[in-house]
Amino acid sequence: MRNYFKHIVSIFAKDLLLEFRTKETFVAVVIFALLIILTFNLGLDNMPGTTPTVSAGILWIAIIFGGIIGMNRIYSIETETGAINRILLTPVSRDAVFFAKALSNIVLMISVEFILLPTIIVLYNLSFDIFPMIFLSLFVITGISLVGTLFSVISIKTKTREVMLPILLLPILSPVLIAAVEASAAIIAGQTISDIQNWVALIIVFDAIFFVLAPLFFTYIVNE
Amino acid sequence: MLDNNLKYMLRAESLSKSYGFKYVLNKLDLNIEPGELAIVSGANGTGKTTLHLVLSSLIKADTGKIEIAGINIQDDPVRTRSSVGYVSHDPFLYSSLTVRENLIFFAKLYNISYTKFNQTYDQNNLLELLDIADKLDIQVRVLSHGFRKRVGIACSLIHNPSILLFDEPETGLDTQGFDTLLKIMSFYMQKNKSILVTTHADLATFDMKYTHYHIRGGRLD
Repeated sequence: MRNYFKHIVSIFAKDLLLEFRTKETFVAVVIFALLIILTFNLGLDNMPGTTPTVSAGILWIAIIFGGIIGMNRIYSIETETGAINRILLTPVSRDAVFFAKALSNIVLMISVEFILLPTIIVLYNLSFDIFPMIFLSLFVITGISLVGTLFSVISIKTKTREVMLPILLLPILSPVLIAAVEASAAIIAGQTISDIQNWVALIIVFDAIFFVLAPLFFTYIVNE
Repeated sequence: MLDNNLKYMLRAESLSKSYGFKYVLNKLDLNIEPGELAIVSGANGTGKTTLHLVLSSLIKADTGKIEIAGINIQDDPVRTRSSVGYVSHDPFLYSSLTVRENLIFFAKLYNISYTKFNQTYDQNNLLELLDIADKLDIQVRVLSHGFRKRVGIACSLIHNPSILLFDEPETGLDTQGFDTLLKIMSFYMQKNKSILVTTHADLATFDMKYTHYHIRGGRLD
């Protein structure tokens, strides 16, 4: 078991080192996500009264579409040079590889959110308690990353992988995205975590289901 | 630990693998004893690489049984993977990492600390032999294909495997590199390790004792 966690940490640390050195994924994801927020800001400039729901929706659209770019990239690092084959030749459990890649996606998306949140607060002139939003985001991003890591492996084997990932991912993520937008809108409107506990519970159940299922499917796909 | 009374280091029985309707391996049998070098030659598309992929457990055979060092690959795939070193056409490395970072990363996945790896005389000698000891802090992307291949070989041997699988090892190596590889093979055979090589090279270049097989129609003869 100790080796299992060491393997997860080793693969995750390698991803961090690669990203730190190249900065390819983080910069691309941040720029793309910021462009989404700015585009919506320009388009919806004269719509007062809808700010909490609209800004929550824009935030999660930016995170999910930025995240899709990141998820595609984080797994393609492994396949471009075939390095995933060398990992699969080692005595590392396939689901340890899955959890390491999911962890890389989680850290990437949380880092992006730390840039997007202040941006959206400034652009939409919002004022809300940021800690419930961060608490909520941790669960939402975990769910997105677990499913996204699984589907990035499936889509990488197709010729149209950049298109295929959102096509596969967004329908599956719809429950967690609806819950994220509703809960975020409530937080922006000034409600507390206890007011949105049903949405949080839904997100946690979603995470729990894919925490079990996603590594199983990943192992099956990689072995086949 | 390896069983000293082990008759076969690798035992493949009735292996079959098809892609669609085409059988690439068709009830193939192969036994390799400890310290034996087996060379498989054959035309392109006859299943040489598929044989390596199946034996290294990168892909599953449709039917058949494989034992590595007496352990069934399906019963304990994790343990058997620790006993196999596979050197493929491509080096399978991270080009933005240095040679040292690649070696450290893959050593960790084999549960070997880099300190231990560094202290092992044989492995250090291997880096010298492969002429990469002075290139440890260079990013792999800067290296030529030949040197990337040498780094790939070092990564494949980092865990001191019991059986080495070389898929057309001459590809991308110059004469000196190939001679080095032959020295490494000879060194490992003396340590009672088994080696399977698929090659298009002239067999006369293998100046050591070997068993030769020809792959045709998915079988060895």
